[in-house]
Amino acid sequence: MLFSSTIFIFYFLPITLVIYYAIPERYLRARNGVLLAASLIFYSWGEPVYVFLMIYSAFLNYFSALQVRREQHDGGTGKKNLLFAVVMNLFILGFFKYYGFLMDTINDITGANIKYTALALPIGISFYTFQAMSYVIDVYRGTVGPQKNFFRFALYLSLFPQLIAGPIVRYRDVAEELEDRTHSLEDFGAGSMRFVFGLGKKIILANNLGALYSSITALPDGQVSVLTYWIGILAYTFQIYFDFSGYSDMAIGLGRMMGFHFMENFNYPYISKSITEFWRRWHMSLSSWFREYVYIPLGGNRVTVPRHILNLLIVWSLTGLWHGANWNFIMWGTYFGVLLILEKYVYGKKIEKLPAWGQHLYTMVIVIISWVFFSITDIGQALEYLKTMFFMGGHPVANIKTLYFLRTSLVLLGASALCSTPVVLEKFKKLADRYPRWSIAVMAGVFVLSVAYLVFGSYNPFLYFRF
Amino acid sequence: MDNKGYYKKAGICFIVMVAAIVLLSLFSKDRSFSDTENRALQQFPGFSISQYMEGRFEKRMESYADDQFPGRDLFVKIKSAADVTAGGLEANGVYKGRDGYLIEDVTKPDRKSLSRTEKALADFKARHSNVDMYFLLAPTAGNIMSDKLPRSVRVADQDAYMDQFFKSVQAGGINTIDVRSELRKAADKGTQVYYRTDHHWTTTGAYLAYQKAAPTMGLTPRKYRKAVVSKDFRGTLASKSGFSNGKNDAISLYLPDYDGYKQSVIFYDDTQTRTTKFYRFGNLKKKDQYTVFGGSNHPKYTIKTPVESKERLLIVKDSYANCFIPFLTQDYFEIVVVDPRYYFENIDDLMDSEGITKVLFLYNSDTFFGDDSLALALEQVE
Amino acid sequence: MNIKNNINTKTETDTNNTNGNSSTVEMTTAERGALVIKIVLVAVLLLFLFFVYRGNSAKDVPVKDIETALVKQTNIEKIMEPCGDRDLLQFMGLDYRDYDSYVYYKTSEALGVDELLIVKVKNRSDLTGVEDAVDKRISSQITKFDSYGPSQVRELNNAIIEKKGKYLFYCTAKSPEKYEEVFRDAI
Repeated sequence: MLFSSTIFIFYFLPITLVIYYAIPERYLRARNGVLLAASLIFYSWGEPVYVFLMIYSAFLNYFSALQVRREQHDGGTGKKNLLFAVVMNLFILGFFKYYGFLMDTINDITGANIKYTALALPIGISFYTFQAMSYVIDVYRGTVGPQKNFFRFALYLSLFPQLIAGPIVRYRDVAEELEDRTHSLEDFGAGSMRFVFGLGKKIILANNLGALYSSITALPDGQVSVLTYWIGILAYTFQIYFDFSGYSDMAIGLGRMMGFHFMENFNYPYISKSITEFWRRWHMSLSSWFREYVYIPLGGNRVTVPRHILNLLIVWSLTGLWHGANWNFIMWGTYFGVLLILEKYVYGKKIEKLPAWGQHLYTMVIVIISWVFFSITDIGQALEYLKTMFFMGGHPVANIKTLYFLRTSLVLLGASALCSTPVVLEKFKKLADRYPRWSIAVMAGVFVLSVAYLVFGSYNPFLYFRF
Repeated sequence: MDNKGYYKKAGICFIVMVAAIVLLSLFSKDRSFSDTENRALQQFPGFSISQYMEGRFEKRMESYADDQFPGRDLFVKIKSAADVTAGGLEANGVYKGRDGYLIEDVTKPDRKSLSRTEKALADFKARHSNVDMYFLLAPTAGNIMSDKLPRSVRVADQDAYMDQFFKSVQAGGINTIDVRSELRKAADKGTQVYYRTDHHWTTTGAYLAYQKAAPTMGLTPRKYRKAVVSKDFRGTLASKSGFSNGKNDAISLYLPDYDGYKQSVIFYDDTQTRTTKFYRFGNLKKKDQYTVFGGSNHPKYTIKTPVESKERLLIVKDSYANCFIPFLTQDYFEIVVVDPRYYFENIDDLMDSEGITKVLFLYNSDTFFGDDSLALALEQVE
Repeated sequence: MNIKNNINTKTETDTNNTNGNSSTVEMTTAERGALVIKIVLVAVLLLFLFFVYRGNSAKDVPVKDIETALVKQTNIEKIMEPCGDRDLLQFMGLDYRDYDSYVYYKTSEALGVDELLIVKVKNRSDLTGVEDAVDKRISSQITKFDSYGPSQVRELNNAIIEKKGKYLFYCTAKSPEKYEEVFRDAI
């Protein structure tokens, strides 16, 4: 089930919230039970078979963490059980996500043509597997105690706000709130406001930007122009930000509506002045996961310079690989790894001396180029797209189609650029202080408009046939 | 914004908005059909464990939630208004043109399907070499009214596709009727040959096409005069795009302006009913007022007129023919009208059993290039 | 939950009985219990993955080959005739252009309901649409023969619909399993 759907907003969510809040606050366990049941239904709705895999994963990690603690209690390090958990988790993730990629690579290298069946990727498996591993590792490190109640642990793993698309919530961040949290109308209100604006980001901005990008990439070669391709990749740049951050907003908002406080996942990444800063603002839950569980165990930056460089390359190619099972994603990740190394060791200081607009320009161009490799899986095609962008594809600078796209998407792109900065939120806060009713009307307007776009998405006029 | 009262209000606002929709859905009856979309709407799906495990129940439930959403049509209007405000020019393949025109994008023919159709036509003619056959392929507004398109929009070259098709059809022995220049001339003079909100040509456009077609078909064109029967027609393109273009369409009928007009009897195969009326005035009250011309979605119907001519015409058509056929009744003793999307009998047998002496194919380019049904209907089954 | 409690009680009785010697060779009961669970976990996972893989996999066989196999190994040609694009549209309501390929056989008898359909889709998600069309066909056939064709209705109610990989198999016949077997073997 998607957050941005009528079935979720007007069926699943109201029913869940009504039942949840019908139970008096003092029965938190019962409320948790409702939440667990709802989360399982939510997940099974999209994955009626793989819901069992998720339940399995919950039990596997619950059990392993207890074993780790027991092993440590008996004088051991806990390493054996930690290894068991990590291997099993990675095996599950690898089997579903990377099996096809592995087979393709083997076929390419050896020239063999081994046939295989690529399985569909269970939704959210990248997220919940990483959450589960963070839990077991934290127990091993002693950062947090193991959860003795299986249902409570299953709730952590399957919590429907963050199950499908993050943020990657560390167990220790919600451990307390699982057992004891407060509910209030203010929290609910703050959460629903967050949810509505996230919904707007996704439906009003991201979806339309996506449609724009799709039309541009679908253009036959004869209609392509340099400017059009720039508009296209700009659309994608904004689309992926609003899609992802919108979803995180909705997740955080939904969590808040039920008394959970999740960490932020995005902090206006496109106002960054360097790539280093960019990755401190983009998908923060993932980059901190990799820092804490891969980078630092590898030694982080407390090692020799060559080893540090190696560490960075490993972490970033893995980050790329996490995003997708294909070489272009690994390239995308490594690309950032190299740039971070360059900023750290080669020209970082020089960048800081540039005027502010220079730093913004540098960062955005690097980021926009990176999205070319992220959005286009075939590396050859990605390079073709880049070549066109930089006047090397033999295409005109602009043509009539460029005019069409500018005419029809200038407002959208302008709004997107504005919403990528903290300016909009600041203005909204000022409005809320002076005219609270108007600001709530704005929220209502965003909601109504989002619903309108949602409804149109299913609008399917069938002009000629009536089967 | 940090005071508690503010967030409380926000929370209540959210609850009210969601509750309003939920309650409206609960207390309004499920609709079974959408007039604006011309399709049946999903009803509440039955539940079974196996269907849930396969994901089919979920899909149907989601369709149900979407289809039965209260105030659907209103929300579509809101969305279109927002799109237009943001500079949008197109929705669902329909462009918002100038002078209130909604113009559908030009359909590009699929090479394989088109070759198949061309071969089917040639073979069909070969099987009935002594029957004169005519093909009237009508252009659409995307072609004739292209000057009304927004300045930055370019559509595919329908003329090129039509030229190529006409050549191939002529090579197969079928006479082509090309009405493009006549329609263009009239449009340039300001005559409305296409509806602003519908993908059909106006009856005026059909009348001009008839005057071009008649001599080719060996007929003397008869005179008809115009009578407006509706001024508030909003057609398929308004529904499809959700755009409001500010102008309604008028529907006209062309009534015979000569003596000796003979009444016809129309017999519909599927409903087994008989009538003498070509025009269904009751349909002017419905959403799709174009159905005043009758003859929509019938697999086959027959028109018999007590005229001197002994010619029997077979018309294989799409909905563009509905307002065109009344012009032909006085020149054929019998007209058999077939729509290959719904007619599954053998057309060759039909030719024999009805004694057909002439065949007319009447299609508009967009439907014709997007569809395979003619090929399927004409191909011989072993 | 329960398993953990068992482990706890076991160690308690153990330390009461034995001399509390958990040597490096012998495992404690707790460890043994845990090992059993780990083995079970691995086994359950492998089993699950095996079934999921099996259920999803189908050899990429052209639909023509399946048809040849059917003709060779069964008497399908005696009961039904091959049908084309138009029949697919007319009876099943499916547009042949939406799918990769298909085989459609139907009885030539006026009052017969025997038919066989194998569709190979381009994307897995298209299978739902095909299955819906088949469901609709079966129910409209049942309605048609409701009052006067009990044997036809029986056959329709026993129709086989099977999905595997990118294929959907549907058959109404006196003994549809024969054809289903050939289908299964082919992929």
